[in-house]
Amino acid sequence: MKNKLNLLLIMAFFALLHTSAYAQEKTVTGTVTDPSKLSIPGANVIVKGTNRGASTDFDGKFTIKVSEGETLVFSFVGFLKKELKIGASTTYNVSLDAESSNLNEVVVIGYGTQKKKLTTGAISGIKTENFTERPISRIDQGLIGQVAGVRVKQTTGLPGQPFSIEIRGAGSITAGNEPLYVVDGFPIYTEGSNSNGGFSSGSPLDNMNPNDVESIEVLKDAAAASIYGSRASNGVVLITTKKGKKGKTKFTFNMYGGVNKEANRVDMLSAQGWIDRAKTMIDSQWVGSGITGASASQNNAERIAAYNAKNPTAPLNTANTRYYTYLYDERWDIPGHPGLDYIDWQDKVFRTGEFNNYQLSASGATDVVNYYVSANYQKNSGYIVGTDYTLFSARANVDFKLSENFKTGINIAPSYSIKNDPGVEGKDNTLFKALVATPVFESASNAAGEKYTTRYAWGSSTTNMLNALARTGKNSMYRTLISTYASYQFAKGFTWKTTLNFDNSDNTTESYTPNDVQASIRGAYNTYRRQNLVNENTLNWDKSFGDHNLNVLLGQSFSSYEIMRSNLSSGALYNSSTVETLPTGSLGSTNAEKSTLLSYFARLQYNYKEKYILSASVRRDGSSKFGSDKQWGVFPSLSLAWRVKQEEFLQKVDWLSDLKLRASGGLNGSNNIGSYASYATLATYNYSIGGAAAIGQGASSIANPDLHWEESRSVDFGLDFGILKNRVTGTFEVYRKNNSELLLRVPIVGATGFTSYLTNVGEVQNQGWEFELSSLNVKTPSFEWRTSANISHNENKVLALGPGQSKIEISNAYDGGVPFVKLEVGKPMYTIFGLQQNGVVSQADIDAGGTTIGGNKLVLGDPRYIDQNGDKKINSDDRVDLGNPTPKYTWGITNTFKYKDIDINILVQGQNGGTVYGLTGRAIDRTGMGSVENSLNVDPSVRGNWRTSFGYQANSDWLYKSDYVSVRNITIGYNLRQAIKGLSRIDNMRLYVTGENWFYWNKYKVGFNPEAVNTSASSNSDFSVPVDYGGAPLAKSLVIGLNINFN
Amino acid sequence: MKKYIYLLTVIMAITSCTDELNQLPLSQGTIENFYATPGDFVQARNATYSVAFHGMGTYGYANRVLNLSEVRSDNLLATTQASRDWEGINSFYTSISSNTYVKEAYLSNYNAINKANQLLEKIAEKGDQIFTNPAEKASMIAETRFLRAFCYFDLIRWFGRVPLLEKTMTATEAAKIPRTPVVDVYKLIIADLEQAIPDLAPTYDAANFGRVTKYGAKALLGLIYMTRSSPTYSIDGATLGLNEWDKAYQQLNDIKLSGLYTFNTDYEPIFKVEGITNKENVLTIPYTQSLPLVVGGNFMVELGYEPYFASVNLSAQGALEAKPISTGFLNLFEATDKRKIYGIATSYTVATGTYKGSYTLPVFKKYIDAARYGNGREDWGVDFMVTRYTDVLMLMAECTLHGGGGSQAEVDDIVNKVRTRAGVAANASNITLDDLFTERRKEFFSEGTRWFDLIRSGKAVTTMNAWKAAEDTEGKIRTIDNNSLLYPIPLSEILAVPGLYDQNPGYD
Repeated sequence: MKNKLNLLLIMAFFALLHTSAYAQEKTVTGTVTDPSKLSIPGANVIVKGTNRGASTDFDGKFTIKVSEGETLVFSFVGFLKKELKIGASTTYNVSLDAESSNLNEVVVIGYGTQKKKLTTGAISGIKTENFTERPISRIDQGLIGQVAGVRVKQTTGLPGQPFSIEIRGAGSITAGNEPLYVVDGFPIYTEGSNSNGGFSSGSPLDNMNPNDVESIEVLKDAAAASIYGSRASNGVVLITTKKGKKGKTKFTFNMYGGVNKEANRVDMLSAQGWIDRAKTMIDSQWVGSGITGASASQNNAERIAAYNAKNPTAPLNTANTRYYTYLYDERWDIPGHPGLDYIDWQDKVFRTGEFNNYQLSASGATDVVNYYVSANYQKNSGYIVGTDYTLFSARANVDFKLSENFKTGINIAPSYSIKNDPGVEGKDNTLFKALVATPVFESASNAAGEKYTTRYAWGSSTTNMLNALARTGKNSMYRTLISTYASYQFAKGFTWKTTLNFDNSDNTTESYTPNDVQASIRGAYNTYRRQNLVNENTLNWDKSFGDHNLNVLLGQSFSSYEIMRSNLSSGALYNSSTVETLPTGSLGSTNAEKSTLLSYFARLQYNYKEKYILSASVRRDGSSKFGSDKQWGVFPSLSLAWRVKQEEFLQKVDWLSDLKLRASGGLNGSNNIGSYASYATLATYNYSIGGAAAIGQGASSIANPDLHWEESRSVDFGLDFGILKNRVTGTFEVYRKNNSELLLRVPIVGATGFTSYLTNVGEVQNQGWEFELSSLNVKTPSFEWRTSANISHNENKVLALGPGQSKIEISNAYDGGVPFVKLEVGKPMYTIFGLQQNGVVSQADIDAGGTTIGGNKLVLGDPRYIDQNGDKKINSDDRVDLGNPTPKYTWGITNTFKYKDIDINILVQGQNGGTVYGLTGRAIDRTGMGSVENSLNVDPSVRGNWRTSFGYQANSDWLYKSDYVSVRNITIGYNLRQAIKGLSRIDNMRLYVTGENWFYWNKYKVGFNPEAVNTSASSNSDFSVPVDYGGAPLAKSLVIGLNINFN
Repeated sequence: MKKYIYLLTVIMAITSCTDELNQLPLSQGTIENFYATPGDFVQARNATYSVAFHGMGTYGYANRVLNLSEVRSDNLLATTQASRDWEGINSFYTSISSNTYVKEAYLSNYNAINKANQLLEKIAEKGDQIFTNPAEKASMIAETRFLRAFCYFDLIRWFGRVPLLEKTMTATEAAKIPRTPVVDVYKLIIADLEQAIPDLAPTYDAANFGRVTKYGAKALLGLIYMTRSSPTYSIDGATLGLNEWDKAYQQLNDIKLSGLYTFNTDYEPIFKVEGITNKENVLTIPYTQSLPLVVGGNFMVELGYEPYFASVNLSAQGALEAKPISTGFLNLFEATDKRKIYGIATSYTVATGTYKGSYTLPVFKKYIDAARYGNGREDWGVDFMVTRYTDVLMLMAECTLHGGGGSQAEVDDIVNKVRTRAGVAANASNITLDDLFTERRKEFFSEGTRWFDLIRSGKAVTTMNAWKAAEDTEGKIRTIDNNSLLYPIPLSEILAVPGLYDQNPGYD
């Protein structure tokens, strides 16, 4: 409005002037705008060949004296120069084209920023604008499907839970594979995941509000990451939070609310299906009972008569367990099954969850102060009964420019979250029990009016697992993240910067298990305080000598990490079932751990004409975790880039708008092990003497004073291109990363008293390629269609293990301990191996002879396994490689459409080529599974006899492809431009609807989510094999949201 | 300019804190700073007891003999539909080298042996400065050597030849020690016991109950001589076919002659009375419930059954399915036999909860005493008797029948005393070895001795196969042969150093 008025006035003014403007040198005015007609303030307007010039004012207007025939040159950072020959007119409105949409972007690199076009390493940025345009509750959630080479595993569907992130494959066997997170320059200590695949001490991204994030950069190769030398071997994720922009205070208000449901269910037998199966088994048991004349066609009365005739002293009645194995429940066949309830337990566990999120922020800047302040509240009552998540978070980022040379600032982000989970995931927990529980129960209630508290006589011992949902499992975390800095430019080009960063988390987990029997009411109260303090001092020197541009960084860093835990638990001490705090006499202990890291680093960045670019860095790290002589490691890197497009010979190639070649190599390190792994620490082994506890202590591990850094050596070749005026841009990378000197727990003979010790041996290789492409497919004034896609391929291979060791079989926590996962030289990590089932045993197989598992004889209809070595025996020698958990390809495609005021964003994402071993199959799809439990809806003629003559051994039954395709997000937004017309305080208002995980396909039958991990399948504490054992499905949600920007 | 850089370099140098890189564990001691006071040595000794007797965690020697001896024997027909770990043990699968019970038996014993070796080395190194009283030092050495012998004997009984380590070794050194012939392992065992016995106290005061006595060591040595004297079955096991029945008799007779033990005339108190007042305790593994430092156990869970626990108002014990008692064994008892009445529940009722109902499935309950149930299912305070006085007397009778000393009258007398106490007719005369083993089976069921009794009887294979033929109607149990009398070396051991150990014959 205002602009239009101004324009009108200007035009009127010039119209008046026009008649008199006939001098040789005249005054020319106009407006400089960008392609979308927004004015550009501060653009340069120079008369070509002279030093006469002007710049545009706040509204993009300029006024300059110029003669007819002279040429004006318009320029502004980030836009292409434009020349204009002055004719008779005195008004020239100029529209500048953006030089290139992404080449002038500045990206955050370690300890600084850099123009994207000058980067030499593999860096992928994430557009975080759409963090506010769709409902995202965690930063890691926003990374899904966005970056090639970054695999974001959603290991649980429960609200508020961290995701697991793997960059360019897993290279370490025991020392963690999570990347290093650096938030506003603060490298946050990352702990590896535990044996269940969870994060016992939280994820660095916990409690962080994604709406506060300005940009995310993922440093994937050694060159990009190695300034973080140590700890960078799994890649680095740089997160930068928002700052204010010069001008008036801008406010934004974002809110969304919605409902969610489970994305999928497990196809179990229905109540009727279960009854049909039970009948088959009961008939079979009856026929096989050895009672004369037993036949499946006999009814209960006939069976009782026949049985009692043979067993007059122990007749068949309800007190006799045979009653339930030989007879039907007669109510099954009565219409309406009186007295029995048919239950779908999954209906009972899942509900419709609700969630909402409110965020208010204010930002702005003056010459002295730059500020961004926000507050956020989110609440998600999950789609599983008893689960929810609430987060309160706030952030204040303030920078002061105290003089031209001195700057200081502080970012402070307090947050508090509450996560409720009564323990629904994992073995023997609610979701698992919802699958195995008999779908038929007596309808009668007990005296207290509760249903299903007594075992159904034909059913399993699992009774109403909904009681378990009444447990308390409350995790609350108060976290404060603070970064402060002061920087001083003490001479031209020289800047000193000191930062002090502190991350404090206070975490409390309360659990309470009520029970029918008061004696076994149990409770626990566990806390930890986690503190990470980092001080860094850097000296930066920027200098240009003609066409030579140089940047040198020197730095030093000290980081200390400390965690203090307390654990309290009660035994049978409760005297009230309504009090959930721990009673007097509860047991407790505390323990603490501390580690430190001291580092020195240097980096040189050089370019010639911004055409030939070199970057070299070196970092020397000392970690307290290693033996005193081996604490220090040196981690160098070198990278080169050649912006080929800047060469003469490509200048004329119009269709190619940009081309850059990159190469890099370097060494990174990892020290992600326990704080005291190099010591032979003592543990308590108490004994009972004289009716009292006799404290005992002894070695619990073998010392290794030679323990040192795990190393990862990587090379990367990359190609960045842009074609058709950068309408299509992309990056292709190939890489190889070798992790060696692995911090590996090597199995040793048990005769030493121990089963393993931690040492530096072994090597793992990851190699692959990544391709990212974004294109502007259609652009008309009213319609725009953009696509960005990425795909990556990674191959993982173990190159070496301990000396002379070619294989480590990781013992199974279940099923007789026979390993089904191994580490083997030449094969991918955690290769799954087992017997291969191949139909069922036929008479021909029996006639051919041989034995099956455990030396048992072959039985008609039992599962048949392939005798791989042809020795007529089925044993652990017949195990073959069946797959491995790492997907071959992960990919994501985002399509964005804009039509007038409507915008649509669709993210489709998936993975292919990995396998998942579904241990839940043990409970719901077992060979020889009896009738009491519910079972997966599978064909028994394929799985084999319901009652095999041998025990279970890991085989191909529970092997599934972990492939999935998910339409993670569909967002349709509408810009309420018309509605806010006339509301001058509102700059922008947008309403949107989002469906998350609305379409989801996978091949995993015995669980809800092929990426879920929640239970340790390894009985060997040295190697964790986290697997799914009843993990929660992803949430399918429907959301309505509103974004408002106002002033 | 340069001045600034110098200044900054100085600041950097000052702020660097190399000392901070030396971090000692905050919540644990280390081997380097331990063994500094007599108290440290006592703690190291307690840890050795703990691992040798209580095992790792809550699974100890008692759990082990119940799973590997009782379940494998003809006392239980513990086939399962649910692929439980005990299935391969009960059903004689050839695929049990990864079985967790088998692994535990191997690893816990070696862990205890390592602790014993470490302690003996530290006593040799510092003992003279640490201990002011030489008797204290001698007793500590004796107890430690007893524990080492106890563990090695347990190992050779399960596995036959095992690597012999007389001192602590690094992984590289241990990787060169092959499976050592049983006779050589016995040399260390007997040397340890012979050195230990003179220095062990004959008895302790109540406050020291739980430490091994001279007679506890003699009971072990007696059993060792008996085992060495038993038939070899042509396998490389702990039985050597030697004729040392007299040596065994002597050791056991010393216990009898000490007068410290009495034959209790009631059966029940043997399992109810704890500590030194129970004169049946010769070699006992003590457990105490409800202590802040948990030293309770859970071995009664191994042969227990959830509905039975529920019937005595206990919460779920993690017993999974029942391990049914074999019918042939149940039929051995006369109705009046107090041992059956006390030790086996044949009908029980659960009033409320998950297991509500009436049950008739027989279940062993000898050690299940809800009064000694502490804080949770891993905190039972019930002691486990490795060797009780009745066992000593009946082992003596066995030696007598092999000509090791004593008379047939004494044999008949002890069997009659046992029968009288059980409330059945004391009509034994001219007791044979077969009679004696049958009486032992009724006396010691669910105490973990049956499998070893079968082996000593020389008829393990025939007895087991006859039993299988009679009871295993579903054909779930594999035919038993001589090789079945040893367990396989755990697969993880075979894989740790390829080629170092051979597997026992008959196993995958």
